[in-house]
Amino acid sequence: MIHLQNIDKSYVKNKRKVNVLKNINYKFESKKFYCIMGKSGAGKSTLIQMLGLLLSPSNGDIYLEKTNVAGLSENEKADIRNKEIGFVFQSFYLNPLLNAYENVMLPGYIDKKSTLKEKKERAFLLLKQMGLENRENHYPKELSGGEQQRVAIARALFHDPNIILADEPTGSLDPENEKHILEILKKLSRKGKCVIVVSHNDAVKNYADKILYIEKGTLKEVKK
Amino acid sequence: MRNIFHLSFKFQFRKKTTILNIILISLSFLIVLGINTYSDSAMNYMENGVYKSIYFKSLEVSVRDDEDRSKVRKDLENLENVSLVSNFYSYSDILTSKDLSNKKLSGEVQIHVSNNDSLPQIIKGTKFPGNQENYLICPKKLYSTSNTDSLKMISSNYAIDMNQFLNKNVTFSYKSNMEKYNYDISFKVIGLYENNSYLDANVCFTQEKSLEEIAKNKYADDYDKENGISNLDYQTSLFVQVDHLDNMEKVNNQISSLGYRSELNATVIESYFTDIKDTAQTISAIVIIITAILLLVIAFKQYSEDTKTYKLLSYLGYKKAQINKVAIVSNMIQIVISLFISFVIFVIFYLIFKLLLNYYPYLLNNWKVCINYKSIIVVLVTILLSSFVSIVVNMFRFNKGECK
Repeated sequence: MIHLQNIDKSYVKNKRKVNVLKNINYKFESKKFYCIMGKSGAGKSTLIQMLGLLLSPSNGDIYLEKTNVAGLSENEKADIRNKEIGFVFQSFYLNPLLNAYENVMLPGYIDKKSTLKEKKERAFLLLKQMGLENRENHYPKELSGGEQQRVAIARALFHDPNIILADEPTGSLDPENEKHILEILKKLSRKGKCVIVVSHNDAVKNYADKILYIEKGTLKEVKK
Repeated sequence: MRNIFHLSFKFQFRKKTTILNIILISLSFLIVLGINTYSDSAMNYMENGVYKSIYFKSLEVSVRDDEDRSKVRKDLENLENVSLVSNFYSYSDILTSKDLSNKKLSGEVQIHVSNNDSLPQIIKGTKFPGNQENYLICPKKLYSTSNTDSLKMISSNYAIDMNQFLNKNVTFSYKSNMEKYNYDISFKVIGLYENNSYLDANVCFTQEKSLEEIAKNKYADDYDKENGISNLDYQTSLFVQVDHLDNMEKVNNQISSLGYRSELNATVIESYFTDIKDTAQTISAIVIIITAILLLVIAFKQYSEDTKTYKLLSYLGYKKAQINKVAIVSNMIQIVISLFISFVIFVIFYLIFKLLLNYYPYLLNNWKVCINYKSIIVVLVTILLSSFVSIVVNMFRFNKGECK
């Protein structure tokens, strides 16, 4: 699914070069739930942004299926993000000016293949699947944290992507909602998605098929 | 593009700053357009009313009994910038013509003295070819009435088209309580001048000699044939017409330096009009600068909110060009709505104003409303420019920061 080959990532901070990730080699597969853990500043967010094609590696290649996406243009990367990757964030990242239905529709506004009717139906179906069928006209501030995160997951699934990247998806939720969200993500992995979750939360490990640790810039898989 | 427009519309209409921006743009648009329209209307009145009216360019010089009237007259005629010296400013008898009457106009015409130097511009026919006959030069559209409401009728279609009387004789009658003073007199209409709503629309011009003849005939019984002087010679004033309004003070000073006493027919406070123009331009400049600054400040303050939106769109696979389109279309929607609101408000004000002027023509001296189209363009360019700058700066900041 996604194959990281010899990935290095470094920044220049205060005229000093900081190596965040060093020689990362890992292959993420479909139908799997991955949990990436590590201390703050270890490079978890950098890794997930590279997986989401929002950051380019300093060295190395990222293969999506058989395509090396590291060297693609920004527009090509944007296309892949729109169709192949769904993002879920800790702070939900819903647009406060749009209601639940419009937030789910957001990736679809630039889709030229489907009709508006098809896109609407898709958005309503996803909201229904998330148990939010009566909340489509509610704005983010009118929804609970759990509901907002379910809207965000529905939005991530709009184009039925193969990869779901979640950065601390339960960080702002109470235990009950945390469980609900993790179950949804688990279900998605069982349905064939490659779900990659970055988290500090140990509870996530219980749902993960693979647990990865980032330490001193290197990525290691640990046994459950 | 339709979807981007749809999305931009939603974003823009739900932003808190949109209403603020719309009020700001509309207000500045209305202030600049309103104030410059007022200024243009005032200047139009100045140029087409005051500058062209002989009333504002006339001086009355009093002649004492012990002064030689013909010497005074000669002295005045020799002055620079004087186009006419006459015994009359206008003829005092009320002359009416059946030819020039209709169901709304009584046929009453004011006859003023003029010569070829002081005539308004002739648009058809000729100036005075000599003084063999009683010649008359009339406005193209004559409102032959003394009714003060005549100005109201300027906007209507009751005016008499004087083209039909060109090179024809028109007979006027004077009727008084004393039958012996009643008389008829004919004038040949030889030329037409362009009148406008400011100028007296019932004024025709003739030569001094014609009016003197009328007066002599009228007062034939009182005419001192032995001494060869008429009642006219006992008039206490001479009337001076100056070639241009700007020379009024100069001529007035020259008359004073000759030891004569002159009085302006009417004083025009020219500085009032130039002040209006200067004030309008200053206020417009201040309003435009403040609007531009406020639009930029609001846009830059909105930056963090907008950036969140643009970042999210970037995460969701929007290309830079598509994000730029959202930013630009959002701004354009806001501007178009502001201008539409301003336009509607302005048209409403304009129509109310026009309606008021129609019923109360003496409001603003019957000024014609001259819309200042330049200010529409200036405000539009300012708004577009500040929106463009804010979009470019914000997009530059966003693109520089990427989505890291």
